[in-house]
Amino acid sequence: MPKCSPNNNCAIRATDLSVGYRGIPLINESTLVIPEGRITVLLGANGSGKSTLLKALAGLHPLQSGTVMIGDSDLTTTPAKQLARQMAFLPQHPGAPETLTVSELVMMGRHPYRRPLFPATKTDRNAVAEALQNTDMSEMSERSLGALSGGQRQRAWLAMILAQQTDILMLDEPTSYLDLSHQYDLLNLVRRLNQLQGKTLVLVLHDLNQAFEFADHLIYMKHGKVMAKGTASQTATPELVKEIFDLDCSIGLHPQANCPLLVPLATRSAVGAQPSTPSAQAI
Amino acid sequence: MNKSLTATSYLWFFPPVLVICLINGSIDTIPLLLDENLRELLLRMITELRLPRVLVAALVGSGLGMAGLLLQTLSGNRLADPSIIGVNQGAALAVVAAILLIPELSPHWIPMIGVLGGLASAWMLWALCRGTASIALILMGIGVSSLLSALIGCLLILSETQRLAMVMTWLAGSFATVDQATMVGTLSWSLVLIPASWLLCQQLGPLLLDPLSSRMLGARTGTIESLCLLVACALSAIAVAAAGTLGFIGLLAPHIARRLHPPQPEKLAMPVLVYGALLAMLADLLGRSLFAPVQLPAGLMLAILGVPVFILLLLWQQRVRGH
Repeated sequence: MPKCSPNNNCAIRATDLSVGYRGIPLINESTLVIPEGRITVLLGANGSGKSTLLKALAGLHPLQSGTVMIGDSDLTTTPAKQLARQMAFLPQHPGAPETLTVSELVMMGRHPYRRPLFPATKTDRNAVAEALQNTDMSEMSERSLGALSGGQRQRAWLAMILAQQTDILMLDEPTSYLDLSHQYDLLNLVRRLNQLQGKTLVLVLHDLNQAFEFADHLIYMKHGKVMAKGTASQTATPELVKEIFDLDCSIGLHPQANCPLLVPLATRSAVGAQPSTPSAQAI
Repeated sequence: MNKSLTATSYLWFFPPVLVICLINGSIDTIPLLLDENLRELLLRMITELRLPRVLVAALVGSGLGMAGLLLQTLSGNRLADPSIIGVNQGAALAVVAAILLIPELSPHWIPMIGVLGGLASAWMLWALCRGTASIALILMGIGVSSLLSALIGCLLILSETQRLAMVMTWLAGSFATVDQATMVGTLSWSLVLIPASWLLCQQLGPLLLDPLSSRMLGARTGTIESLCLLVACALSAIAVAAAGTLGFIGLLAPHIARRLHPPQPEKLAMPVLVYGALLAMLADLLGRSLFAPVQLPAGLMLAILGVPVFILLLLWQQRVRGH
């Protein structure tokens, strides 16, 4: 049995996983584990298969072979509603009618718990209130989604999946389309959820420095293969970054967070070309 | 929200429209009401002629509205409607073929044949686009619906002229031929299907969200999707069987409801039932009384009056968005 690092409890364990499109396998992994109660970040260039892997672990992408265990239950045989009480997923492009209010959206997160035809129970309403509070959206609960800014909207969606009260949360590129300060707001919220409520988080991120700062466990992917995994200080090397992202960089130390800090060096094309002009660099 | 009607106020529209539909028509009922000898005749006329017609119109309208709501929620596309994706045409083709090819056909079989035809075309569509995006469902549906309309056209041209008149009236979408047998058939099917569609809507809330989110909430399972499709098709097929191809209510009723009520399917179900019924009853009422004694089919009235309403709604929506 594969051991989960850093402790022995796995939230998700995939064995002999094969995932792909139209019969062509993209991802082949003999064992892959998501440690429980930690923040795991999937990293890789565009098209490296990290989103596909995340969807496969969430049951949103069919497996060609292999098994995925969510705790003690098999992903493919667990009823959808039961799974929705164990694991929540925020897609890259979530969509809802603009006329829906924030609290109506968050109440959707209670769907896996609600009995058909019964009104929302006190537990449901409490869970919604708590999710709104955790995401700092309580005051905006009666606003319609169309009236929110990008950052508020993302928090509303996060509240929706928090109302699901699952142990596992999966976020597919949650920081895309947010400005820098809202990106850090969201990541700090993610960390708070992890530290205060012990939730297991799996994120796809593009920013390596954010990944180094916030992740307990990193999984690096290239062409559908897991190239490396471990903590940031174990794995962050210029060689690995060159291999995964084809980017020259130097790795220093974050002055406050005490984690690796990546500084990109001049890009390939600029190095190979004439002494670079600003416009050439921009391209 | 001030733009949404309070929970039940729209229900108040229903009784007056029902009364007007029952007493108004090609025969003026007011003088008859005053004459004691004729009062009994009037009551018989209302219960035996008008009531079936008005009731069937209400049920057909409600059913088509719900079919539209279910299909739109399922596909995540507000264009989905039983007449656009070919379910109505499938039912119509089956009924037209049956009327033209089996001369001794009893009218009692028509609803059953309609339902089978509608389900067959829906099943074909479902098999074609299983696992594909919603826009594919609409596009293929439009294709299937044109194909089926063409087949209906071929049948009409190739058939004998005798039975053609019967089919033509029916195809235009009219309640004029509704009798008590039709009422019993439509009523019994509706008593099952309309509550079923209402129950389904109570479960469909998360389908408003993107497909990944609704799947992760456990709301988009194969069972629920198939049930929705089955109920929507059966509803539109019994509507076609009772009143011919009466398009547009499936598009219009949910659209009006969305303008006035919150967008969750569980909150739209009741308004859609009422608006669908009102639209069909009013279309029938206007069709039979505007140019009396000439009766215009309700299907034509719906298009003539419904399309401007629909376009105004869309313009209104655009203006609201614009500001």
